[in-house]
Amino acid sequence: MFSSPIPSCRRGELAETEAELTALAGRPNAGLLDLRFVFWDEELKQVVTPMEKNLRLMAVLYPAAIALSALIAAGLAALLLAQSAREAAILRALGARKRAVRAAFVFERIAVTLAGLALGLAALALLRGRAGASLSGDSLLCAGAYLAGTLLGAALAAIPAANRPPLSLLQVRE
Amino acid sequence: MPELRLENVGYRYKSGERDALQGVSCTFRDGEVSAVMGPSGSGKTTLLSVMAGLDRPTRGNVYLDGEDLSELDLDRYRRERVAMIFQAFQLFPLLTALENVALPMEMNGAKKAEAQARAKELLLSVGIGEEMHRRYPAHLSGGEQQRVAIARALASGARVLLAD
Repeated sequence: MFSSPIPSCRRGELAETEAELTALAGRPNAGLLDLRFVFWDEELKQVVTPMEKNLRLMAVLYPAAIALSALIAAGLAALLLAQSAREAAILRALGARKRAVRAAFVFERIAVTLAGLALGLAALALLRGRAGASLSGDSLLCAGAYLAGTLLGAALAAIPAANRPPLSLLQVRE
Repeated sequence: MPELRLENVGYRYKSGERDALQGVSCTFRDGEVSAVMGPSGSGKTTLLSVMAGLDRPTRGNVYLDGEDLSELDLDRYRRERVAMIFQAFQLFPLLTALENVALPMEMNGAKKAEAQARAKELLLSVGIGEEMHRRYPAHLSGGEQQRVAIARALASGARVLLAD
């Protein structure tokens, strides 16, 4: 008679569970007494519904946040590289090849970014470790996206930085 | 006799409507000091750019000791045969005086120790005492920075010194 266990309620299955329980209680021989199932879940709904909404929102926001971080990485790398235009011009005037100048700047950005990511991930691991959790793949994914963004931004910005005519950048403007 | 010779050099910027340089012919001989004068926009920097091998003339030729620049690797030409000095010095702010002077030699393949030893000599020869070698350009006076820049220009052993 009680062989079927009471179904557990998982996320998003509230309505189903309610129907199932009602059906269970409504069976002709569900009990010797006239059993009626009263399902009072208003409070549960009040708690769960906004949480579910939030979860759905997070599912959309999370990839957007990763994409945004990659975009910011690319923009920042490009901006910082554009600021090194004068250094690029000096190197060019000293006889460095355009390719070498580009490679040096991209390498610099990547090295700095890697150091920053390592520090950030270490701090995150420490914080999570205190809470008894380990570093998730998601944080690594995010770090990877940031690194990829940096690489792209630096590589794209390095092309015009090495191409600008050096002398006009190195002159004193009167 | 070693010389830098320009023959009917013309230059027009890709975006330009007219020539920045037109039919420039002149010769700079070994040991000479020459000045190019003219109002702003008259093409002095363009001329320097062409002589420094930062740009190829759109017309005419530049010869150094009889060698046509258009047949040379210009990056190498700039590393080994010409050196530039700028009004604003243009030292690397994150390198010490010594490292700034050693850099062109290292770019030419010299070992770090060799380059630094030679850089020391050069700095001393322009009157930058040893106590200043480890300083960054920001901690040097304008005159000291200029002398470091001159030492750097001499470092590559270039025969042509161009000052903008």
